[in-house]
Amino acid sequence: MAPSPDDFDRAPSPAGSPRARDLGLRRARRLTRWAGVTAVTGAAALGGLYSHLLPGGTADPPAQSPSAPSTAGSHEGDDGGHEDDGPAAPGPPSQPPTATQQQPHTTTGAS
Amino acid sequence: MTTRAPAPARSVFPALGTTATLLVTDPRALPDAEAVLRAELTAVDVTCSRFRPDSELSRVNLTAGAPTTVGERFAGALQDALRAARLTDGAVDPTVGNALIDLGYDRTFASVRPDDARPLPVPRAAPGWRRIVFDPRTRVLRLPPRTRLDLGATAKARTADRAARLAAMATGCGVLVGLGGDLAAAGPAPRGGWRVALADDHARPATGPGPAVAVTAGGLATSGVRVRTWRRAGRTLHHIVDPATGEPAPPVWRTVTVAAATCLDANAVSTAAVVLGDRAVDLLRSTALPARLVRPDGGVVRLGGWPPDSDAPAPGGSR
Repeated sequence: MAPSPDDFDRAPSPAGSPRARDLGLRRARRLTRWAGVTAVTGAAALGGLYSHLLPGGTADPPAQSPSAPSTAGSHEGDDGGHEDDGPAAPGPPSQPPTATQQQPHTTTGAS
Repeated sequence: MTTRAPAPARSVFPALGTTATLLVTDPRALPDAEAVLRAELTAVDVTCSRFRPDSELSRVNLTAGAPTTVGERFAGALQDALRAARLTDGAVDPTVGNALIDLGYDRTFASVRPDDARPLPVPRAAPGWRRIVFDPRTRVLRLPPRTRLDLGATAKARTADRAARLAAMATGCGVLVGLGGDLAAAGPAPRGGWRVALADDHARPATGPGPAVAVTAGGLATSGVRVRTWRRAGRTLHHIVDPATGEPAPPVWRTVTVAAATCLDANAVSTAAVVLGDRAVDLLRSTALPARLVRPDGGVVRLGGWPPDSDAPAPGGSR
């Protein structure tokens, strides 16, 4: 917090003397500066307070604007799958596997 | 739904540090379907690779602790990873990146030291998926500080689902996509279904008769602890990490194979089953998904209507 102009020197001087006029001008400049500093710091403090109190406010804004997304991929969405969270349970196959005695087309195994 | 198409045409090539397999019911559709698959593989690699310094995942991991906006494809991959975490109550958790690095899996698996004598650091639990803050509408993401995501398993399964679906739409025929043994089928299946051999390692199928199943649609995934292994400080480690401990899951099951509506869900549940060990049966019973679990001694547990093991010939063709 900036010091109050009332905190500055108060040496008594004879009224109407040049020294008294200089002291008055200096006090007026200090008062102006004090008022400015107080206004700026007060505005910053209130701004910070409101940013925490208002809904959706955050002190840590995104590094990038959501309105400027990157452009990786161009096919997303054209298959109709995986676009949302999907069902809450894994879906069963339309038909369960059946045993076969015929020569396989391919192999499943760990990789 | 089945067709009277000739034998499926096949393309097999390396991708994402594993093997990509593409089968189509109409051989004429193979080039177009392969183009779709390769485009999806390229996109997921530049978006979700943990080993590319220029990937979006690497950029996101560097911003942990601060908000950042992610692209649409990354957002989809993240949402799928969060879905897997939610479905498995955190047994599959994308925040295990640092745990994998601590264990030595800090580069492509082909470059991991096969026998590393350095001591293991004290394991740490993963920060936890619930601490990830993500707004799907704005795509603004904030990871917990010092967190690294690993989207490996779910991103691979998601890619299989997407590629199969998009290739089937583009070609109008039946498509099966396999990425490291995790399979997704879309479109009309061949008569009798897609026939799939069951093996410990997708790249090393049995050379003699073994169990096989037929599937017509959806996903089939296998997780296991006997592949992607390395040694560190005298211990054999593998890549399926328990988020609760930061250590590789104990080898209660050699492999777990699960069928589901999507490869993503099948992969999430099969991986969670490996992590949960003895508690896997409870998880699988709660989902009612068909599943086959193999113990280290070869004993098999079948759940959810999984059929008895057959004795099919060894798979044909290259893979």
